[in-house]
Amino acid sequence: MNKFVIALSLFLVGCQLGGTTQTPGPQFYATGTQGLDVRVNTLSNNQLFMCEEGEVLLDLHNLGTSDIAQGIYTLTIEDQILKPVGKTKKQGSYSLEGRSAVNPVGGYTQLGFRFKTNNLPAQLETYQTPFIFNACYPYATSANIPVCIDPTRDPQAARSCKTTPVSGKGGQGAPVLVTLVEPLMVVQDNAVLPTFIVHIANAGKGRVVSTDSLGFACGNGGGTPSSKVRVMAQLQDEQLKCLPEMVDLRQGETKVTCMSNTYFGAAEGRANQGTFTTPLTVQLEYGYVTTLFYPFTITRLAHQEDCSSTQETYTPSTVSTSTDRGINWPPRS
Amino acid sequence: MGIGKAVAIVAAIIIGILALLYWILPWWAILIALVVMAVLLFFFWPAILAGIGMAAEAGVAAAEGAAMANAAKAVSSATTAAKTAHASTPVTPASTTVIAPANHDPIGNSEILKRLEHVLVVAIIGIVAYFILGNAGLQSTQNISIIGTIVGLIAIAIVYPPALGVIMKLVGIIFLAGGGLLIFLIAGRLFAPALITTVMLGVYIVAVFATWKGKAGFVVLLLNTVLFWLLLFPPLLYYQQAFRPESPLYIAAENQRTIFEEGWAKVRNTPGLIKEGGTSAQQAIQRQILIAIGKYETGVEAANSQPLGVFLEHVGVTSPRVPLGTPIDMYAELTAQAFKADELLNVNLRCYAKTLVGKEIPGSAGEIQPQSTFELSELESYPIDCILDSTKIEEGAAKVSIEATFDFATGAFLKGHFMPQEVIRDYARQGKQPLTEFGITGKDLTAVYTPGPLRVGMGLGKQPVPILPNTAFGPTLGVTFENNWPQGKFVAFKKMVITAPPGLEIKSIDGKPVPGNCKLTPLKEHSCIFQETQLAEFFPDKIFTKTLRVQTQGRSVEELLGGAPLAIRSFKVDVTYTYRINKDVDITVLPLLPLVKP
Repeated sequence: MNKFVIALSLFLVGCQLGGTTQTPGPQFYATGTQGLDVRVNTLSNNQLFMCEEGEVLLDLHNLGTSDIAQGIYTLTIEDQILKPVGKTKKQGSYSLEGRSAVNPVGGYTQLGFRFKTNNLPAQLETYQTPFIFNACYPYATSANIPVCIDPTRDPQAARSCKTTPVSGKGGQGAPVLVTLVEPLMVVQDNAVLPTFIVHIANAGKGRVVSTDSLGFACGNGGGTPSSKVRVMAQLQDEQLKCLPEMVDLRQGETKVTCMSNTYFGAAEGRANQGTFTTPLTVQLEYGYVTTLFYPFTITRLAHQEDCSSTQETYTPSTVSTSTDRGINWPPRS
Repeated sequence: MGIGKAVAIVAAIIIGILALLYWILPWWAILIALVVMAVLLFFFWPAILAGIGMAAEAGVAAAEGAAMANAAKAVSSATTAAKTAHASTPVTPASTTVIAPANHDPIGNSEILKRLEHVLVVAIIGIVAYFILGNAGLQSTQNISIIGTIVGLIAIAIVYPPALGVIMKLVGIIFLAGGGLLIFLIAGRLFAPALITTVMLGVYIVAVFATWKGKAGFVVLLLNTVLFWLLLFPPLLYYQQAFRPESPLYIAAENQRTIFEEGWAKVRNTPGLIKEGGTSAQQAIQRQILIAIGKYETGVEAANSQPLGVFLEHVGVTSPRVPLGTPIDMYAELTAQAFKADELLNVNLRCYAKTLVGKEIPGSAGEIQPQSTFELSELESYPIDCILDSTKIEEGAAKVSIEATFDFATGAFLKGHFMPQEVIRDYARQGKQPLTEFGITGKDLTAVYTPGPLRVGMGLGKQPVPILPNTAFGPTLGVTFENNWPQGKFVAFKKMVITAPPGLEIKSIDGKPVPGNCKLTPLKEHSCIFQETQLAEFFPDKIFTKTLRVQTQGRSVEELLGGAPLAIRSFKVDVTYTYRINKDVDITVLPLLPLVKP
């Protein structure tokens, strides 16, 4: 009997402990300046013999906070030397989820490309040829910058915040980022019209293109060359008017002026709300191009003439999209 | 100790030192010793002469004393006195009139011993000198003559001291006059380089002029020149009689003769050298012109683990001195290194003799063993011999040459980077280099040619090459051919294949349309083949550095770009040609050896 009571007590205590403990999840911060990260998997082989088959495995990680929908890629290889075999295609698409509170590491996929090396030019012992992977994808930056709205005109009045420039250099989880926001309080009558000078720059290693130029950038002939970023800003549910709405980042950091149409302060019979801090949400939409260069070295074996006698081997390419992580996962910064 | 004995001992020591130096020590020690001796003689020669003069006077005095003694003992020692007078009586008539002291000892045991010592010393010197000169290669007749003369002179000096001064002067003259010859022979025996010999002779000449001044120095030089000429050059060629064949002195004389003849041959061949230099200069100028007008295309040699080509290695002759009538055996190792093993390398060998100015001696061609033609595959090597008839070559120095003429192939490629023009412009607007953005560096834009005797450079102008949609635009490929081996000679092209990548086709070369030569390969490359006769039209000049301009046109943008923003496509040039290499070896054909009667 005593044993039963003790066992029951322990069971009940155990249930109570396990059921009431709250385990907090990791807090998600949209920081960093990375988008799609493309790396060569260490299982890839770029030292090949003439007439031999080789495989390149690429690990694609979406390290930014924006989802990639219908990203495209193209391969640039020297067809006279490297011949794609199996299901390997020189063009394709992919979609990858961005980092979020529910998926803090971001989406991952692995692309496999199989090649067979052709005959080397006569008398050559070794030959180097590149494998260039060009990924083009639409991307977006969503920056929430806390700004100070100060409608108080009395310089001696007490303030809860100051309208000083706010830096965003830590990044907003995307390669194009808002680097700085300069709040300006434009005085009109007794009120102010908040205006923000938004600094935008490309901090990633890739190239910015317009979303409608992604096809052109990856060589499928669609669109025209353009490198424009669409800028939108929102303040307290109000869509601000940004000028220019499309900015070109080709010359480096660019400034956009976003103005509010709402008066803050003692206007239109309202009482002055005083100084307060509120988030300014800046949304940037653009296309991004990431390029990877991977050199192949092909060696001719002694007495090796040509590949005509070598039988072509069919091996389907490996394409997988999963949450399984390769041996390179998580990627090194 | 008597003056004669002193001189003899000094002479013996010098001869001994020279002999030791000559046979034991290395050449640089001999050089130092010779310089030291020359310096000592140069500074102390007057003192030596003065010493000899004083010694001669002392000798005269001693002889006078002896004569007086002879007179006193005239009766009792008549026979001895007569012998003594014959041996040592001076020519001075006064000696016969001098009355000797009564107690003066006639030629006693000590004097006889001294004379015997002199005879012994002279004999030793003679034997040693004979031995040394004989080993050095001097024929017995000449050896005996020279040694006899030297020993005789020394003997006279000992027996008749007043003659010592004259004799020493005579010996000095002979040595100085022939000193150049001595230096010449020693230098030739020990180290053949003409520069060192010339420097030593130059020092000797300066010393002669410094000691003997103008006219006398000139006489000595003239005498030396005559001696050189008689010894080394026709018509006398006295060294062939004076020295034993294959002896050190013979080889020394021969070496020096060869050096001189080669120098003289160079002088005689100066117009040819100027012409040759002119050709090289002309080639260099042509290259500079091509560079200046932008028509010279560069390339880098592909890194290979082994050099490619046909080589003649370890070339030599079994004997560099061959008596007339004896076959000359020249040997070499024929090596071929090539990857292109589907076609055998045809190698034709030939050997012949040349004069020192490089002119082939008619009828001197030798026989190649085991065969004069080879069909080599990759990485093969054969030892070969060439047997030449020495009777077809004149006596004296000459060259034997082995020549390999072979067909070889060189391949070259250039990676062309093609981009749509709009993409290039877009990058330009962004201030970016398109190829750099794709990770492509400068070395990827340079043509690569395979190692071998021919250098092939290629160029496409500025890369990336813009591709204009809906047009037949194609880039122009420049191909420069140049001799890559300074020691070899390009003979002729046999075949050339130029390949344009998929999407492009070759329209013309140097403006001449070439539709009949081209076809599409299974890889969709456009390949044009040119044979020997057609190639002669492209390369009409003797001067070899030449650039061909290959005009292309677009066939299919889709094939060329393949739907990518950047396409990498290779242009290829493969040439087969005939090339010639040769290697020379110096030989000397000796005169027929006289038959030695038993």
